[in-house]
Amino acid sequence: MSARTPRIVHDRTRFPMVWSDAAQAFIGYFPVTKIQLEYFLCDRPGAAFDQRWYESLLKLNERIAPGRIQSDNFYKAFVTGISPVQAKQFAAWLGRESDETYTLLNQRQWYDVYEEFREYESPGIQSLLLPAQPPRVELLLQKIDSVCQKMKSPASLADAMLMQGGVFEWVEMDGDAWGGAGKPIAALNPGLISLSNRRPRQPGNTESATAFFGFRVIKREI
Amino acid sequence: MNYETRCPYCVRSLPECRAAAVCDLPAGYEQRTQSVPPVWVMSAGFSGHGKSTFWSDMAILLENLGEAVPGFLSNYMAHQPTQDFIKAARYRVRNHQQESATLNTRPEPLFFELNHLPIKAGSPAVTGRTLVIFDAAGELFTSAGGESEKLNFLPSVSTVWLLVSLKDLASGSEPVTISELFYSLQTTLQKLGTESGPSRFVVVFTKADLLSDSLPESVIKYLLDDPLQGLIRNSATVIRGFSVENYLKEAAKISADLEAFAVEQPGGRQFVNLLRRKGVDVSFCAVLTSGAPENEHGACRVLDPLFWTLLHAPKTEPELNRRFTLIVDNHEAGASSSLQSVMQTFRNVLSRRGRTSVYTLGNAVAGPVPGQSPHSAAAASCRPALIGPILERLSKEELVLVLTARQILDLPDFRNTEWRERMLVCSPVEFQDDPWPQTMRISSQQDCEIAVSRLIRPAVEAN
Repeated sequence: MSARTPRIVHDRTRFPMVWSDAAQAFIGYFPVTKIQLEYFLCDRPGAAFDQRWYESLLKLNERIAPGRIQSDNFYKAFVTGISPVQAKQFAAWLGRESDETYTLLNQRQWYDVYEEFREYESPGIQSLLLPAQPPRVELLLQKIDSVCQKMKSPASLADAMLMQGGVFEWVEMDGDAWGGAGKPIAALNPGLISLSNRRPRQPGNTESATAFFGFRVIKREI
Repeated sequence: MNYETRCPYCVRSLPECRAAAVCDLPAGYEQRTQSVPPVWVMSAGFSGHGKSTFWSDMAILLENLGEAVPGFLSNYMAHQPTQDFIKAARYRVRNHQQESATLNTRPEPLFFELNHLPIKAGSPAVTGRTLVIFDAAGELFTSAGGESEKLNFLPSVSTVWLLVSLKDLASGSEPVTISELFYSLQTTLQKLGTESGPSRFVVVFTKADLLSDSLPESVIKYLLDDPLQGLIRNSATVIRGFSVENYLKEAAKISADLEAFAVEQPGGRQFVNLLRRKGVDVSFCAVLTSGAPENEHGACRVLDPLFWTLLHAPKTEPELNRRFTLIVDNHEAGASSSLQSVMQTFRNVLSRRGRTSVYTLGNAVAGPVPGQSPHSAAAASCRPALIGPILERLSKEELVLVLTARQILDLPDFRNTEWRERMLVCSPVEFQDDPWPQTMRISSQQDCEIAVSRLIRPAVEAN
């Protein structure tokens, strides 16, 4: 692994994003968290994103306060159980009222980014924080980072970003299909997954099949 | 920040205004108002109801009040428009002329620094007040909210004097009722994007001489017995030991008589009910101004609205500085009927004790639509019970009161933060799972005062 200082920006929820040469875009440092989604829900999300909808998500993967995050529950901080269409609506909101375009990664981008980032060391969470970060966001980032450090140290940038050890991440596949990239934490019973074969997991048809499918956003540079 | 320490022109805070250096404030206004706190008063009334004449009389009475009340001093700050106004008022009173209609422009604020006020109640530290007057043209009110941008100062005004000539209301080409004036005012506030407005109303029946056949006898006697009657011609006798409190004891009885009288007028009952429902403090006065040709008594009881205002003006700075945020719940489960009934009361109690803004749970964008009840405004949206994005918008001085019957999903995020001491969750139901450290069960409107006191206390202790 080699050290480098990646370019960092922050999205409108003030969560960090890292530049990827492979994707020629900024990539969300972590899968989208519930706190990020909640900024969207408290803005103008549209009638579909109501209390009932959010409760149904939390039933699949309950919410956790940043202060209570540990290695056995950190995945509860991430949004899962959401459909790709809804995830794209959130991504579009990130870019609303700006010239920036946010969306979800596609299959090729995700694995390209993974292969790029596993070659680099993690820059450390401190370099990703904003001076005026809301305290709970800062705490959340630090807690998740500390869980990562415990799981794998020294971690590659891909590890630190939970591209493995996190949740499934929706990616668009060829033929208008969607699948889950990444290698989730064992506690979520993902089964056998090899990231080197670059093949996302196709969810089954049951209601709970996508319970631990989250997403990560990508921002194109103008 | 004390909301009245804003610039009366641009309505920004005085330091911000000073930095921008565009407003024509009286020299030393910012320094002077540290020791002589401002009270913002706006007169509202339909065209031709005698507002300008009333203000003119009041200015002269204030100029002469020191003759009757030893020690009292009215000082016109170094402000050209105020000085021009005084000169014109002197000329008008001397020549028994009626005032011409106020220009239909943004009202020019007028400044009167009142020192050694004959007020004994309240904090002894406040013996002076800077009266900031906005005499708004009647036309600004006749089309409901149509000229709201000219009234940008209105959300900062603590007291509104509703000047009403009942005779003119009834005899206009398009007769209107007294409650329509209040509606116009409310509409203007809504257009300005606020619901919190003046906390005190003084209803002033002008041209009392035209009501001689309908005013209660007690009111007529009260008018003619005004001990300050001669002041307009600078011929009042000195009143030893004059105190506003004693003066207003008699005025309070008259206020009650006039309220009963107002209820009998067209639209009067609705008007009184509206004011009461809004929870604003209200007093009633009747005045005789010097402009009317058939009035041989001079100006009578013209200072009553001012005395009511000064007596009830907030006394201490911490009280003025306090900032509250009320977060209400519109969800059908969160906004139970018992919450609906206390929501308005909470807002009124908080507004009396500081600057209050209102948010809806799950909505960081804006408060409830002004003029609509929070319940009807967003019942359809059923937003998730989230509070974090709202709290992160607030300043560190804010005290937050939340009214909900729902479990707030992200409240645990703030458990070990300073919000622990500055936020009170009020609910008609008991929360079983992980309740917020400061939670209060409420069951009636009587609980509102207790809740607000409880909200304020920990913050005071923490400081």
